[in-house]
Formats: sequence, C-alpha cells, structure tokens
Amino acid sequence: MSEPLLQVRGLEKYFPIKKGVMRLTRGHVRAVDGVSFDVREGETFGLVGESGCGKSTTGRSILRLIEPTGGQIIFNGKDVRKLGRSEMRKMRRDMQIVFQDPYASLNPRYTVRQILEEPMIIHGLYGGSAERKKKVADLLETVGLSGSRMNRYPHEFSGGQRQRIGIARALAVNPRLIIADEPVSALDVSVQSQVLNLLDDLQKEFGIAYVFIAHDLSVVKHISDRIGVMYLGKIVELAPADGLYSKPLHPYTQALLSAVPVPDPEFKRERIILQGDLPSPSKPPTGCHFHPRCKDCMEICKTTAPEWKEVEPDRFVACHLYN
Amino acid sequence: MSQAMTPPSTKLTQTLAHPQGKVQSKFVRVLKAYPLVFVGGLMVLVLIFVAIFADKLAPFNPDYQFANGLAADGAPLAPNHTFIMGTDDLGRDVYSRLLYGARISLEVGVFASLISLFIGTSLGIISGYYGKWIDSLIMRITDIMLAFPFILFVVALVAVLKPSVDNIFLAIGVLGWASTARIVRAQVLAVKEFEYVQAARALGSRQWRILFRIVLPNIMAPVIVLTTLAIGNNMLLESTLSFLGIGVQPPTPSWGSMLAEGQQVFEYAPWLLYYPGLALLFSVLGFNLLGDGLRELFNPRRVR
Repeated sequence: MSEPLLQVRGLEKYFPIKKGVMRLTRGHVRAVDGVSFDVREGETFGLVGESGCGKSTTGRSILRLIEPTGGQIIFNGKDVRKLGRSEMRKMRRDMQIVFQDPYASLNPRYTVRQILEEPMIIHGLYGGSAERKKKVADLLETVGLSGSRMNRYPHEFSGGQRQRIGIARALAVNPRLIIADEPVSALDVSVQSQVLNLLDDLQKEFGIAYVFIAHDLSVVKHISDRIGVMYLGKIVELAPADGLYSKPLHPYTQALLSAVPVPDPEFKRERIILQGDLPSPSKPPTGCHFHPRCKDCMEICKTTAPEWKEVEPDRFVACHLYN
Repeated sequence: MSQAMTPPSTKLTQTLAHPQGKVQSKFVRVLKAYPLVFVGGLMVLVLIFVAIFADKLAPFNPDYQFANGLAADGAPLAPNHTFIMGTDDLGRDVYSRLLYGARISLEVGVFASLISLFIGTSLGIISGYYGKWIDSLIMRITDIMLAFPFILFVVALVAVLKPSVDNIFLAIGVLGWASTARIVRAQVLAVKEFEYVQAARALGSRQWRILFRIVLPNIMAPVIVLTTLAIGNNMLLESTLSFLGIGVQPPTPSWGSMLAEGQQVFEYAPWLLYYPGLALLFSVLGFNLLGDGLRELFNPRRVR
C-alpha cells in the first residue's frame, strides 16, 4: 500500500489551567492525549466520541488552528508542525475544514461571491476577476446551488444551503483532505442526508480524503471507510466501518453501538448503559481511562494503561481484554 | 367553497413572489422603518450647512459691539427686527454669534471624536486580538483613564497646552478613547471566536488580512454608533470647557462661552441662555438620533 496521505502520531493538546493572582499553571486539561491514526488518499476516516472527548480539538490541531503541544502530523510526507509560516500557508491549499455551525462559519458581511473568492485571492488562483467569478459559479453548481445567487448574503440562505457554501469554500482551493467537523450536526435530518450525499459525490469526483468528525454513529457509518472511537482524549478502537459495527471489540464501542436506535420495533437487544459521567480530562482515571465505567473492568485496568495493539489485520484496540 | 378558497391562495402566491410588494433599495427601507434616522440626519445636515456657511448666513460680524445694541440703561436688547435673537451684554448680535458658534462646536465634536476613534480602535484591536500581557497593559491604562475624572483631566491638559480650539479637540480626543477601546476590545474578543475567522485562518489568510478585512468590518457598527454619539457628547464637553472659561477664548463665539456670559445677566436677559442652549440640544439630539439609526443601517440582518 502506498504512503498514507495523513499520518497522525501521538498528537497531544494540553490546555493549561491557570489559577490565582499570578496565573500560575496548575495542571492541564488533556483534551487530546496521544492520538494516532492514518488517513489514506481518497478515503473517509470517521472520528466518533462523546462531546468533550477531544474530537474537534484533534481536527483543529491537525490544521494548526489550535497549536498542538506534542506529537507529529505528517501530511503528504511533510511534518506540518515544523512548517514555517509561508510553507504552512501553501500547505493549507491541500488541507481544508468544514465547520459544524453553518451560521457562524460564514462572514455575515461578505456576499457568497466574496466568501468564495477569498481563498482564490489569498492563494493567487484564477487570475482575473472575471475568471474568479466563473469559478465561483462553478463551485456553487458543484455543491448544488444556483450560480445566480452569488451576490446574496449568507443570511439569505437556509442552514443546509449555508453548509453547502461552507463546503464550496473548502473546495475553492482544490484540497486533498477536508476535515469535516460535525458538518451535519446542526442540520435537520432531511437536510443531513443531502449534505452527506454531496460529500460522498465530491469524494468520488475529486478523490478528496475526509476526516469526518461526528457524535452520531449512524451518520459516521454511512460515510466512513474506517472509524476511530475516541474516549477522553484517546482513540480506544480503530477499525474498518463494517467490522466495527458488526463486531465491536472495545467495551466502550459496544456500549455506544448498543445506543444506536434500530428501525425495527420487534428487535430486542441488550442495551449497555454506561455508569457515571465522563471523567474530567484534567484528572483522568488511573490505568485505563475507561475503567470506572467499564462493564468488563479487571484489576489490571485500574493500574495499567492498556497498549494500543493490532489485534486483527487493520483493527486496533486499546483494551486489556485483548492482551 | 371553491370560490372562497381561491382568493387566499392567490394572495399567498403574490406574497411569496413579492414579500414587500415591490423591490426597494435598502436605504429607502431603512428610512421607512426608522424615520427618526431621517430626522437626525437632517438635523446634522442643517448643522453642517450652518457651520460651513456661517459667514454668508450671519447678518452681522459676530464680534462687532453695536452702539445701538444696548438699551439706554446698558441692558442687552430683547429679540427685535434688527437683532432677531437679541443682543448680549456687550451689544453683539446673538444670532450671528450662534451661527459662528456652530463652527467651533462641530469642529471640536468631529475632530475630537475622530482622534478618539482612531486611538481607541487601534488599542482595542491590539488588546483584543493579541491578548496576553499587551491586553492586560492596555486594559489597565484604560481603567485608569476611565477612573480619572474626565473633565479634570481635560482641564489639566488644556491648561498645559494653552486654551485654543485646536488644543481643546486634541485634549478631548487624546483623553477620550477609553470607552471606544473597551468596546472595540469586547467586539474583537467576540468576533475572533467566530468560525468564519477560523475559516480565514484555515484558508491561509495573513494576520493583517484577517484583522482589517474580516474582524474590523464586523466590529465597526457599534463603534460608528458610539462615535456618532460621542460627537454630540464632545460638543457638550467643549461647551462645558468654554463655560468654565478654559475653552474657546473671547471674543471667539462658542455656545459654551455664550452661555457663560449669559448666565450673569440671565435674570433680565434670558434669551442669552435659551438660544445657545437650544442650539446645543438640537445638535446633540441630531447626532444621537443619527447614531441610533446608523446602528440599524449597519445591521445586515435587521432590515431585509
């Protein structure tokens, strides 16, 4: 297999907790705590987990919108964290992001045309203004909007349409990787599937790889090739989508999947209810971070963190059950 | 039944096709929704017109002391055919002085506010966008500026600089930026967390581009409103200083100095207070109405 497009190795983002008059650092919130995964050319990597588990921080750290505190991000053979300012700017043509909130992610004072021209102007693409205008119209058509509406303002569009504009903006620089940070969570269910299908079509047409961040397992299953399950800043299980859903290994994944509603009233399934709350990422539990809520907790889990192991080809899990 | 059904559906189609009946420019729609903007704007225009053409509009030289401008007992003349707003205790025409006074008021109001706008916006942006120690430093200085009695500060500075029109607006402007800086900083803090700012970073925008093309336009609406209101306020402040005697020096006419001179004789010459007072009221009200209206005009969502 060829080199993966994106390799994340031991990514860490610790936010300092500052207290007192002197603003001294008293501990850290370990939002992302040693996350590693690969994204291959043209595939969709799903990243799921509860809110607060560090999914979004992971996504933004990869783009250095949040500066990571540790680890390596190798994109296209280059270590993103070591790039200088101008190299980073060039790199951004290949890595884009689609945000969760379609209302906050578009500048309310720009017309759609200005929003979509912005990336072209920044990177000096498509020479003159007439050429850019044509490209804007193309982009809008690509995401299923009429090019004739380019002179309108974002507030004149619906949530789903705004999200399409956000996607068009990401496409404007022809990226190879798009980090989709819960791109459909803020949308109505009927609009969700349209936007998901659009993302799917774009991938087929342009071969873009996605890191798809979501908390909705059915959404992730629909779109992902491989899925990483995050818990408290770590990836606990990583597997191809089909395998993960048919045979979840990690007890946390099992609990999550048992919560996905099945559209069959006759269907009875053992529902695993997680006990307790998500622990604070500033004071994570000893040993395996998941042990206080785990149904299969053993003695060793309380003292020793489990190793990240490939238990089957292409299936990784961090759990003592599989040692 | 079918007849009863037809009209509503037709009406609905029409409503959908033309939500506002006909297409109007945003300017017209704002005027219709907020008629007071129009009133405020008109008042400001009148003020500007008067200030520019004071020398053409004034019937007399504002500083000339008319021999026939005082009654036999030396008292000022009440409004009459020659002096339509009466004369002051030196026999000068109040109407002419009032028109010339508009120049001083407007000049001080506008220039002082522009200076404050520039200083306050620059400091506020630096403070809000870069944060850290520079933010703490700027905000502590702002706290000091706001805690200090403002008039006292201005009086002290004008006293050092020597009273003159230029020095008044310089002093007011240089000292009056604190509230602008606060508001700009708060706006920047709010706006920079928006995902469209993050998106601009993700697209590789340079910092100056993010600051001036994205953050600045999105914070200017409240700042422009504040500045418009500040013009009115600074006109009042100029009057206060002139009233206290450290503003515009005699014989130059200013509304504040006219009030100061008038208050000694107002028991038998009340018009000396009425007219400058009304002129001030008119100007400050005009700027305030305009400021309120601009806030609506700058809001892209409010008026559709």
